[in-house]
Amino acid sequence: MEELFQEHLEELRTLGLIGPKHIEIAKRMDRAADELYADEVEFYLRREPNPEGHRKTLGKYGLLGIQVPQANGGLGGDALALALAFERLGQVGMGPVTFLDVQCCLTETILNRWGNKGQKREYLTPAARGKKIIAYCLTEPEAGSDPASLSTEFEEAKDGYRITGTKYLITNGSIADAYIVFAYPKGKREGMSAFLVDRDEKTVKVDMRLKEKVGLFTSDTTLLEFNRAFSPKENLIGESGRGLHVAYTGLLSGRVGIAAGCVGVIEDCLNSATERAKSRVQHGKLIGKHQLIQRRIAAIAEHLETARWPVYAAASWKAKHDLRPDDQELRKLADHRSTIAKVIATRAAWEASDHALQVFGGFGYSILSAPGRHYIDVRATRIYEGADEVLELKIASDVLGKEFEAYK
Amino acid sequence: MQIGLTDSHATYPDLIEKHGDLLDEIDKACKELRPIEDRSYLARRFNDRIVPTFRKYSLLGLPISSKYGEGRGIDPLTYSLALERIGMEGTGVRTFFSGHISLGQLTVQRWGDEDQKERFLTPATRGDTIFAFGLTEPEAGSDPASLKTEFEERDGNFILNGSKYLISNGSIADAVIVFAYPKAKREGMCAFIVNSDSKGFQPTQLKEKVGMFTSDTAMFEMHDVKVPKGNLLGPRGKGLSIAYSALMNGRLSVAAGCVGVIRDCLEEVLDYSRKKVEAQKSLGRNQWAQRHIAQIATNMEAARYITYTAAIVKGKYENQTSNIELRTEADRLIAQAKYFASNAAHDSAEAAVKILGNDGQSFGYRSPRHLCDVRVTRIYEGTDEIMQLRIASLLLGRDYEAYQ
Repeated sequence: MEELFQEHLEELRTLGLIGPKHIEIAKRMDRAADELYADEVEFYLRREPNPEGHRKTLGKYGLLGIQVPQANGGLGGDALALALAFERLGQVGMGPVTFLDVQCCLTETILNRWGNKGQKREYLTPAARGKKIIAYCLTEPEAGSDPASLSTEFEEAKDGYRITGTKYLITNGSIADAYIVFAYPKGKREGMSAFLVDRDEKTVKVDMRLKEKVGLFTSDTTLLEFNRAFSPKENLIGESGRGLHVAYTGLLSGRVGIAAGCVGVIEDCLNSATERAKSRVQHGKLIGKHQLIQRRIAAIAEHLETARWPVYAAASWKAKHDLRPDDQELRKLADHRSTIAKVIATRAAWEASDHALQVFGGFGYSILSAPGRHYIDVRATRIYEGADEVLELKIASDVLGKEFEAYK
Repeated sequence: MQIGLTDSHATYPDLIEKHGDLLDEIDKACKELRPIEDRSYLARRFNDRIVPTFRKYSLLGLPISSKYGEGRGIDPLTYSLALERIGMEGTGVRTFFSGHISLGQLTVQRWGDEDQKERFLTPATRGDTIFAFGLTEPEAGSDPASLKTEFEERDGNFILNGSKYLISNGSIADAVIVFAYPKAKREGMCAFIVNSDSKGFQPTQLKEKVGMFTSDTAMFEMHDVKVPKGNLLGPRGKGLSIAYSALMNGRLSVAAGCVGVIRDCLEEVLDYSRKKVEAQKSLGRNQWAQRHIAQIATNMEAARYITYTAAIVKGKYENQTSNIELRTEADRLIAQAKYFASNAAHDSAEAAVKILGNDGQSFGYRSPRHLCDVRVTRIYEGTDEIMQLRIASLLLGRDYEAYQ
């Protein structure tokens, strides 16, 4: 097993925070991550998305339904098991983490919490088993940090609903078998609802696989046009009008996943930088003996510590909340912790990858180098699933009180 | 100049009188280049229109004496203003000039004999001979004294063997200034002007860069490359000094280019902040965005003045090349300018990307490109670490040097 990861697992076990189930899931991911690595680099160098590769390898180890109850075809792990799995996967890169975050955190949690029996049978179980990929469609070109201002609309139709609108930066959009789409009733700006829409070439167009991306090349990022796409009556998720609430169920879990992935990025940066420091000679000695290189190694090590404990704490509280989903106090706590963890871990990963890149000097300025890849990829993690700017406002209003909310 | 941005020219009114037209020409050439650079960047392809565009306006030998070809003979401050403007178009574009002029032509102007200046500077100022600077090797980055390329003398020629790495303009250059030790020695480094069409000279483009996609970065190998005696540049054994004197010009060009990067990011986010609306409010009305804008604008002013100061002192030194104190001062100010401006540009590009939100994930916008490009400026021509050590030892004294 990867050394740093193994150390962390042993530590958590000694502290009594994890048990055999967590370790079992962690072992699966350790093997999957090893298998993924070579392909990941190959696709990355070609700047080509590889969602099918991610799906295949992660699916092979049953990792497409980490948090889904075993009764519904998943591994039955809790949020901490998910966080640890994502930590290991993050060492490979945020591309595969982003793939899995959408499936395990954004969509499956929604179906698990709000789905009816039929939706769980038709969507949740196949998703957990890797038979269906489900995409999360909230963001639009004009609605990023303020999802409440989205403009996709639905109309009542015979036996269901017809949905029209454009969704942007949708991960796994090209390969999704179904989409969870958030929309307002036509002509209104309240009463947002969530719908399951099946893939359909005629009414759901993948308008472009985003090519001008700065990073995250192995992630499939799309623009989707819904043109009177049909969602049958039984595919309304949760209560009508509770769409934003449903959306946040996904984000609450998603942020933990991304944060955990970033912990893995920092670990890979530490491993790479350490190896380089111990092998590269300049000015007559191993660069690891130069004070100015040592300060960067120390900084990465510090970033690792500052990132992983908030993530473990957030995941632990999320796990407790998942056992009592109606407990509002627990929800607030899990929400606050996972928001802070996401801001901290993504920032720490950015700084750590910058340090690691610098340790490699000219060689670091290349996607052939792991820190170079992490450096470009991590940028997106401070934007998606809640940009730093808006999450900081959220943290502040958690502290000051709702009446201080300053988004507008 | 944009409303709201400090007009650098207002600070130096005599400069405008003397060089206003030239700076306008540079502005024109840059504007012409922009759409081509856009397309090249998105296609991740070298921009081969830099030379034809700037040649049209005779802007390929700006600081070179007008004795040679299209040399315009401008002073270091004016040249820095030119590079600032060019830097707005992208670090890749500016890096071409750093390689071709700052590290290339200026080194020949300083150290070459009259014959070399005629043979090389005249066509170089016309863009007919492109220059590159071949110091760095796979095993010799921050410590150029440890380089391994060697030369022998045979039948009236120098024979060069070795590899150079991460060389800007490396695969498009006609003439490369190459540094090498006498065979089997570790002292007496010499500088040579190598013709890239020599037998045994094998360049390879390096394609997997994090940014700078429109810049040519290459490695090249030399297998028994023959260099005529007349191409030894400067005195024998003075190679390392020549390299460091070249790097002074190179570093100043990096600093100036970075000022331009900050300016371009600022222009983009001012425009974006006014136009982008979320939740019925202009993005620019948010305090969080204003904080980033203030940071970028302040970075720009600070980077600008440290760079201009360094350029002015460099200019003074060029008129008194035997004045060691002046050289030390110029050296230190330039190192500080490079260190500061490159980091300020990186911070500013990052702040700009934050303002762009989701649009910051796309190279369709300029600030994300600048962020990926400008990261290299904290590495090449002296990493942040080396700059810190250099500045400190120039202040403490040579006996305090702590590179080892």
